[in-house]
Amino acid sequence: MPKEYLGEFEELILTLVAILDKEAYGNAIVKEIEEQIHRQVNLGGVHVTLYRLEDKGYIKSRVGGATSERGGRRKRFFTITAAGLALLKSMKEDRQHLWKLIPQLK
Amino acid sequence: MEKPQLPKWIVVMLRWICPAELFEMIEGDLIEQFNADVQRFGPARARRKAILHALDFIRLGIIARNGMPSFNVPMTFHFFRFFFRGMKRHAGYSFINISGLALGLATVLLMMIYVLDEYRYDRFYKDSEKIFRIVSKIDMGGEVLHTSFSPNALSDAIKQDYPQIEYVTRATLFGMSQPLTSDKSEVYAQGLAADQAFFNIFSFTCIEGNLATALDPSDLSAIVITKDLATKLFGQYHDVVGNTLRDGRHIAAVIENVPNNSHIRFEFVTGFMPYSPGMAIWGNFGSYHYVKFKDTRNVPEVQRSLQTLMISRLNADPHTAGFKGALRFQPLTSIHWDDVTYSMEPAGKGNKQYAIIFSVLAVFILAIACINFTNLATVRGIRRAKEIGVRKTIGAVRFQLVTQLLGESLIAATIAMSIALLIAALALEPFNALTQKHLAFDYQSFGVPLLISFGAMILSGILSGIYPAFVLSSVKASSLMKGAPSANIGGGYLSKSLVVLQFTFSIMIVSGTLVVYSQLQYIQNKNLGYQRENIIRIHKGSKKYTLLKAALLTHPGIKSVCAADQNLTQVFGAGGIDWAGRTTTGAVLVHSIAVDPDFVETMKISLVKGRNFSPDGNLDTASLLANEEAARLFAIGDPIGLRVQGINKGGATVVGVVQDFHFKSIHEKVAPILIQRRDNEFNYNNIMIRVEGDMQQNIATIEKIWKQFNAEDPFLYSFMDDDFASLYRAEEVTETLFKLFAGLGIVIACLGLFGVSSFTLEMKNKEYSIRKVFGASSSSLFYSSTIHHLTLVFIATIIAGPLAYYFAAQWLGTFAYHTALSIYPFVIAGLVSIVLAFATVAYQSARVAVTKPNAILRAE
Repeated sequence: MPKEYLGEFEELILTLVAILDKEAYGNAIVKEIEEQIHRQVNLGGVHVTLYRLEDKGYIKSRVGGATSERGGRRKRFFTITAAGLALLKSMKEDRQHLWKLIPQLK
Repeated sequence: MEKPQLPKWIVVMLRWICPAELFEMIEGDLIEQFNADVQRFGPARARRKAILHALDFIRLGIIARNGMPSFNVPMTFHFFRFFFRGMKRHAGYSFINISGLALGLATVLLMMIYVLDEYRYDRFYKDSEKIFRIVSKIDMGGEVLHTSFSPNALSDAIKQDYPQIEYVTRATLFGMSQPLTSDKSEVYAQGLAADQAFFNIFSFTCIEGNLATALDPSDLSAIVITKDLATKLFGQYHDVVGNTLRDGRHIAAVIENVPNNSHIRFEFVTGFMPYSPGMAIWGNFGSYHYVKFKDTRNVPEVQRSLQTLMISRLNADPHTAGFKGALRFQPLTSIHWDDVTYSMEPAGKGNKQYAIIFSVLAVFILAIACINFTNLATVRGIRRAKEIGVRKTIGAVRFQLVTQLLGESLIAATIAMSIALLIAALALEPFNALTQKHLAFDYQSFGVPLLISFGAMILSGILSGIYPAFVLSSVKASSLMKGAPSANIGGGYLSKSLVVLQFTFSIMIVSGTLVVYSQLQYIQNKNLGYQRENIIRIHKGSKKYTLLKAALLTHPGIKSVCAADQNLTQVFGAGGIDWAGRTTTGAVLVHSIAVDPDFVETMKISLVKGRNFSPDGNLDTASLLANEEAARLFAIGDPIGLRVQGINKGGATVVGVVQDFHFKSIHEKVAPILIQRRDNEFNYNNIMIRVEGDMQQNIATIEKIWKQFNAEDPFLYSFMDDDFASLYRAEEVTETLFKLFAGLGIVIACLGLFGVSSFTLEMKNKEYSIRKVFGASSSSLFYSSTIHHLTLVFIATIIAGPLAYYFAAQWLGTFAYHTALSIYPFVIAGLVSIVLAFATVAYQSARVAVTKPNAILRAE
C-alpha cells in the first residue's frame, strides 16, 4: 500500500483531536489551537478538515452532549482511530529521521 | 433582556447548504462561538463575526457532502436508464420534441452567424472607428444623387489645411479585372489605385516588402499584391518582391488576402497617378477618399469646414455655380449597413433592415421551437404522474425528483443542441451559396453564436423541465397515484396561450413569405420599359466596333446589336444641363447614357414622339432622345426641337421622346434621362446583342467573332436578365430564407399542436367514453374535440393578421414601385395554418371519437 500523507492543516487538526482525546469538537479545537500555538483558524476550515479526516478513516465521530450554551444543539465529538494514531506516529518518525540529516543542526 | 440570537438568515442559509446530518452540530458550534463572542465583544460585533463564520461554511468541502442521489453510481445509472426507456417508449414524442428544438437552434445558429458576419464588416481594421470615407450628396434639381465618390480636389485641400486628419488617400477601383502577366502565367485580377497613405489607413498585414514605401508617388510602376495573387502569378508568395511583370511593373510588397468582410476588395494595389490641374477640381466627383482622424471629436468641425470650402470653390467656377450638395464623413464601420445606398459602392452593400428581419425571424423560430419543447415536456411530465407518485411513496425526496425531471429535459436539450450543430455544419455550404458568404466552421464565426444558442438550450431545458419538476413534485403522492391528475394540473391556460403564440408567429412568417414572394413576382414581371430577355451583354468595348457589329449581324441568330457607355440596369453618369425657356433656377443634373442608333430597337424601348437618331454614317451627335420624365422636367409643351445645353459640346436638340424605362433599382423612382450619341463609339464599354434561338450556339458564335476582332481582350459577358436579377439578390435571398423559415415555423408549430392535442385528448378519454355511453354520437365528439384546438389557431390568425399587415406595409414602403398590399396573403396564411392544424388534430380526434367506450372504461 502506498504511504499516505497529510497536509499541514490536516496534520494539525489530527494532532488536536488526539490531544483533546474524547472532548474534540469544532469549537474546542479552534480554542485549543489558539491557546496552544496562538494561531487563528476558521471554524469552517476546521469542520471541513474534520470531515475529510473522517472520510479517510483517521478519526471517527459520535454525537452527544447538548448544552445550553449552544442553544440545545448537540455536539459531534471526534476521536482518533488506530489508523490515525499510526499515521501520526509514522509522520513523526519520518520528520525526526529527516531532522537528523540537517547538518546545521548537528 | 432578550438573549442575542444568531441572525436568522444565516441559519436558513446553512440549513440549505449543509447536509442534514452535519447541520445540527455546525449550527451548535456557531451558536457556541457566537455566545462566547457576545461575552467578549458585545452583540453587534459578535453578529458580524457570526456572519463571517457562517459564510465561511460555503465551501465545496461542505456543499459536496450533500448526498446527492444522482451522484452515486447506481442511481446515475438508473437515472439514464429511465431517461432512455422513456425516450424509447414515447419515441414519437421524443422525436418531435428533440427534432423541433434542434431545428430551431440550428436556424438561430446560422442566422446569428450571418448577422454577426455582416456586423463585423470592416471592424477588423485597426482603429476602424477613426477611419472615414468622404461621401457626397448631390442635389440634381429634382433628384438627389448619393455617391461614394467625392471631389478630386479634396485630397490636396485636406493635406494643406487640415492637420486634424492624420492620413488621407484617394482610391479608385478598376472597373474590370486586369491582366497581369509574369514569366510563369497570366492572371486576371481586381485592382485598386491608391496613394501611399492607403496602407497607413488600412492595416493590412505585410508578408514581404515594406508597405510604408511601397506606393511611393515617385515610382508609379510599383505594385502591391495579395498572397493569393502572388501564388497565382509566381507559384509562391515568398521571395517575389522585386520581380517584374511583363508590362514593366515591379512587385513592391505582398500582403495578406483582403478579408471577405471588407467593403473594399482587391487583389493588387498600384499607385494613384497625380491629377492634372484640370482634373483636380471640386466639380469632378471622381474617386473615393478615405481619411483617418487623430481624434474623432474633430469630425463634425472638419466636415462643416470642408463643406463651406467646397461650396465656395464651386460657386467661384461659373460652370458649377449654384451647386447644391453636401459632403459627409461616413464612418468606415457603418459603410456596410448604411441606410443610404451610395452609388459607386465598391462591393455588395449589406442591408441592415434585412439583417434585422432575419434576426427577428430566427428568434420567432427559436421561440416556436422552445414553446414546443416546453409544452411537450410538460405533457410528458404529467403523463408520468404515476411514476412520480410511486417514486415519492418509496422515499424519493423532492430534491431528487426535481433533479431528475430537470436533468432529463436538460439532457434532451443537449441532444437537440448536438443535432443542431450537426445540421448547421451540414447546412453551411448551401447557406454560403445562398447568401454569397464565405463562412467557415471555425471559432471566429461560430464562437459567439454558439455561446448564445448554448444559452438558449440551457434556458429551454430548464424552462421545459421546471413545470413538471416543481409542480408535480409538490403534489401529494396519493393524488398522483390516483391516475391522471386533474385538468388544471395540465397548465390549461399556459399551454393554450403558448400554442396561440406559436401559431401567431408562424402565421406572421407565412404571410410575410407570401408578401415577399408577390413583390418579387411584381419586380420580375414589371414592365421595365425595355425588354431584358435574350440580351447578351459584353462587358468591354471594341476598337473595331463597326466591323464587329457588321460581322455579328450576318448570323441568323443575332437580331440586333447596340453599344452603350453604361450598363443599362445601373446608370450612374449625370451632368448639369440647361435649356431655353427654363423657369427654375439652380443647377439641374440629369442622367445621361451614350448609345448608338440601334439602342432603341435592340432594347425595344418604344418611341412616344419624334424620331430616333439617324442611322449610322451620319454621326448624329447634335440630336438627343429624352424619356418622358425628362420631358416633364423640361416643362415645355412640346420638347421636340428643344435645345439642351451642357450635353455634348455646344448642346444638342431633342429629336424624340421615349417611354420611361427603369435604369436603376426598383427601390428608386424612374428619373429623367437623356440619351445621346458621342463620336467615340468604340469606347462604349457595353455591347448589347439581342439573340434568338439556341443560346449556347449564339454565345459560341459571338465569342468566335469577338476573338476575330479583339484577340487581345477577354470575352466577358452576361445575360441582361441576370444583371437585372442581381440588383434584387438581397430580395431573392430574403424570399428563400422566408420560405425556409415559414416551412420550419409551421412544421414545428404543428408538431407541437400534435403533441399537445394528443395529450389533452388522452386526458379526456374517459370523459368522451362516458359521453358516448350516454349517447353522444362519434361525429359530435369529433366536432367538439377538433373545434377546441382550432379555436386556438383561429385566435392566432386574428392576432397575427394585423401585425403582419403592418410590417408588410413597412417593408413594401422601401420600394418606389411595389405591388398592392391586399389582405389575401394574411387570409391565406391563416387558412393554411387552420387547415394544417385541422389535419394535425383530426387524426387524434377521430381516434378518440371512434374508440369503443368499454375499451377505455374497463381499465378502471
